[in-house]
Parts: sequence; structure tokens; C-alpha cells
Amino acid sequence: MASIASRRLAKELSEIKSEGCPVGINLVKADDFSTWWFTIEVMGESLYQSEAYTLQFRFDAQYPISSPAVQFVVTDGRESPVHPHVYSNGHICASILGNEWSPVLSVIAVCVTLQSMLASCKKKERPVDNDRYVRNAPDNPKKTQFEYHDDRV
Amino acid sequence: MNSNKVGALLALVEDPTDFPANAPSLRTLDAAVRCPICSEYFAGPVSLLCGHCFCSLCIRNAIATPASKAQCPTCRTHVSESQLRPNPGMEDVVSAWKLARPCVLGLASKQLEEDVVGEPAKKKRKLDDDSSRVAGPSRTSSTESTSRSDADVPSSSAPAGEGHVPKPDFVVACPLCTQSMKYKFLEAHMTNNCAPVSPSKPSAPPTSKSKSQKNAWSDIMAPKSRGKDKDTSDADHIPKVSYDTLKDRQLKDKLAELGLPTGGDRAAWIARHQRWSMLWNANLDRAPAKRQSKAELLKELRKWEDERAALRSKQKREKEKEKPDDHAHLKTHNAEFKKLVAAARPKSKGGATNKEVEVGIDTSPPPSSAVAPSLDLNSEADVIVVDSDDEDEKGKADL
Repeated sequence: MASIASRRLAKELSEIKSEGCPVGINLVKADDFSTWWFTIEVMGESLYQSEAYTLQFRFDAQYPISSPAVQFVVTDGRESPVHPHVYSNGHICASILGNEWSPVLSVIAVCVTLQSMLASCKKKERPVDNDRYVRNAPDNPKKTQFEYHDDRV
Repeated sequence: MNSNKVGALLALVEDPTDFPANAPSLRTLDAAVRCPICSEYFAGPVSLLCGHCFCSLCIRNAIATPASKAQCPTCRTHVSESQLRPNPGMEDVVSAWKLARPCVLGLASKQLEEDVVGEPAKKKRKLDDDSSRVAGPSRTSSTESTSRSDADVPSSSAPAGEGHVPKPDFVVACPLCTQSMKYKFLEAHMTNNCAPVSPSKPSAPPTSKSKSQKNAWSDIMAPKSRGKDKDTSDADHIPKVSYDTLKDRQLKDKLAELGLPTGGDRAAWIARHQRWSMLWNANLDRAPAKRQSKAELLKELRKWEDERAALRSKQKREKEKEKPDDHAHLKTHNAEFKKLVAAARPKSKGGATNKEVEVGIDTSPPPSSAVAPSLDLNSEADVIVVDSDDEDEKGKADL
């Protein structure tokens, strides 16, 4: 049972529990080693002030060699932030979740990156192809081949 | 039930947060000797060209994964498997830290307790007195070695170590490989990367001067090297194989040569050979004393294949479940189709035509039906007036 993936996740979790999360990030639930929920909130001046969003992580047996599937939760009255790289179904177009994932990254590192992605946003808008993508999007964002074109964030 | 499992594993797994929060330097130290990929202590650590260090198996795995490009997980500089270099220094640090950890952990938590009680004056003395008791249940079997490792550890906080140094003829266990030897040979043994010591004549360095000089020359001139006569002849890295150039027969021979099972199909052979090379080469990156036997490696290979097979069958089952249901697709998108049809309708001429279009959509299978409505919108009204068969073909052509 104690595979590499769950051992590594156990270590990440115990670090979260003992040292706490960075400011604005909170653990919602981590009852197993397949799905974790976090809330993230952008601190300081930003377009998303005092708005909290829920992030979902899904891990497979190859973690951390393969990236976790990360998206915003859009059920139970939760919404995805309006952002040029976030689709209304919660999927996120960010290179570190796809081809730039590295096994040295951690769940918290991803949270912080996404937090800063929101913080640096200049204009609240959906991606241009939002409707088209959402209509046919697969359940798992990892199955989408995103094209990363914007290196500003 | 699941959360119980999580809790159990959390309690079981050792990690830097075992150290109290008021000792951040100890946490950092513990984290520094762990592989950034698996978060375990380095097992057969190797360095890349950029200097970053990982478990041999972890980095081989990371490089071999097709999704990741061949780059250092930390700094993204390019790497290749042939550039991996074992890092025996780090390996020694890890072994030493593993031995010292229970003791340091004991000291740190003890100190925490005392800080709470609040008698900082006596702290130092007491720490040293306690050290031997704390280290009692540590894993080394011989008492001499325990006392030695004790002496090493607290010496940083107070000069208590001197009294513990064993006499030169004392038999002690090597803290790295647990081999027993006289204390005076221990240092040479350890600097030699745990070279085996035969009990009758102890290893090379402390022998007579003239002989060692001769040996030194012959070592330089004749590359018989102590590595070679120690490792058996098959202890070489398995070179990379370009599987595409091999015929089935040759591939099978290769597996047989390595003493691996030859069951399964070509894909299984390739996967098996790749995994075996990875396990084998990673094992060679460890210090000789820490290497696993071939039987252990074979067992690990079997385990990996079983897990992989289990995962495969699970994915297959899920895929079958996910298979799109044609009727469900039609049903869920019915409203959309209707809307598109309605949008196209004003352009068409009569009621009869409308009916035909609708029929066409209802009976065509989902892939083409998904395209058909958009055809309706884009093409001329006259073109839409086709019967369902033609429409089907059109959809396919577009796909």
C-alpha cells in the first residue's frame, strides 16, 4: 500500500499539518491519497480581493513523476475565478500543470503558483475559446492538450 | 476507513516535521538529505551535471518518462542518463544521519520538554548524560558502535565525545555497512567506501610502506582496480538498447542473457528490459555494501510488473465504462440540435424539408450528428435539403 506516491503525499500532508499552509491557502480536505481540496485566496491588492476559490488535486499512482490533475471546483455553489487562463468549468491552462510539471514541485508549490497567477491578473475575463472548450472538455484536465502561449504569468 | 489509512501512514512515515518546530535547522538538515522526488533519504544518490542530487532510481524514472523532457527536475538543464554520477559523499552523509537521527531526535524533544519546564542552565549537561540512554534502542547491534555514534553526535554541543573513543584494537561495527573490524582500521575502511575487510589480513592502507608504494604503482599501471575484483564480472551497467533495431528473437535472447523471464509480448519484453536496466543500473550507483542482490531485484521487477498489469486492467475497465453512449449523447445534446435546426430553418423553403433535416439528425450516429448541425448553419439552405444518408457521408468527410 505504501507506494512511492502515497508515501510522498503523506510527507507533504504532514508538513502541511505541522507547518501550516502559506498565507491565503487552506486545506479543506485530504481524507485519502487520491483527492485533496484547498481554498486559495489572493492576499493584498488584486482583482480577486476577498474572494476564495476551491482547488481540487487528483493524484495517480505515478505521482510525483506524473503531474496531479488540478482544477477549480465548480460544484456545491463554488465557482472558478474569472481569469484569462481559467475556464468556466474550472480547468486551468498553466504550463506547470502540463508539460512543465517537475517532480520536485509539490501540492503547496502549485497552490502558490496559481495564487500568484490570480494576483497578477490585469483584467477579469474568460479565455477567448471558453465556450468551445467547455462544451467538449474531458472530465480530466490532464487529457487536454493545452497550448501555452502567454508567458507573462 | 480511508482516513484511517491516511492517519496510519502519516504516523508511520518519517519526515522532517518529526523534529520540533523550534528546531528549524534540524528540519532543514533532515530535508537536505532527502531526494526531492520521493522525499525519502537518498538511495544510491547521483548528481547531474548541474550538481543537483537525486536517488538514482528516481531520476532514471523521471528521465525515462516520455512526458517529461530529459531535464533536471530542479533547474531544467538538459540531462541524459549517461551523465549521472554516483555521489558517495552524500551516501555517507545519509548513512551517518540515519544512525544519528534517533539520537538527535531524542535530544531535540528532550530539550523541548526542558525548555517548557524552564531550566536552561542545566540543559547542556543533562543532554549529554541522556544521550546514551536515548540512543539505546537505535538499530545497531554492537554496543561499541552505539557508543561511538553517540560520541559523535553530541560533540557538537559539548566536548563530551573524547571519553568514548574506543581503543585501536577494539572490534567495532562500521556505522555504514555494519561490518565488524578493529577500530584502527575503521577510518581506512570507511574512506575506502566500505571495502570488505578480511579478518586475517586487514585491508590495504595500514600495511607496510614499501609494499603500499609498489601497490600504488601497479594500481596505476595495471588497471586491475579494486572495484573489479570485488564486484563480479557482471556488475557492469546495462547499456541503452535501441529496441526498434532488434528482432523479436534478439530481444528474447537479451532477456534470457540477463536471466529475466521471457513471457508476454514484444511490448512486455521491452518494458521489462527497460525497467530491469533501470533497477540494475540504479543498484550499481549504491555503495557495494548497500547493493541489493539479484534475487531481490528480480523480486522488485516482478512486483512492478504485477502492479503495472493491475493498473492496466483497471484503466481498461474504466475506459469501457467511459465509452460514449450514442443515445445518451443524442439525448443530452438534443436541445442544442433543435436550436441549430431552428436557426437553419428560416432559410429553407418548406415544411417537408424541415422534417427531412430533423430526421437526418435523429438517426445519424453522434460523431456525424455533432458535425451536422454546424453544417446546417454554414452551408446554403439548398445544400441542407438532403436525405439522411447523404448527410451522414458529409459528416464523415468533414471528420
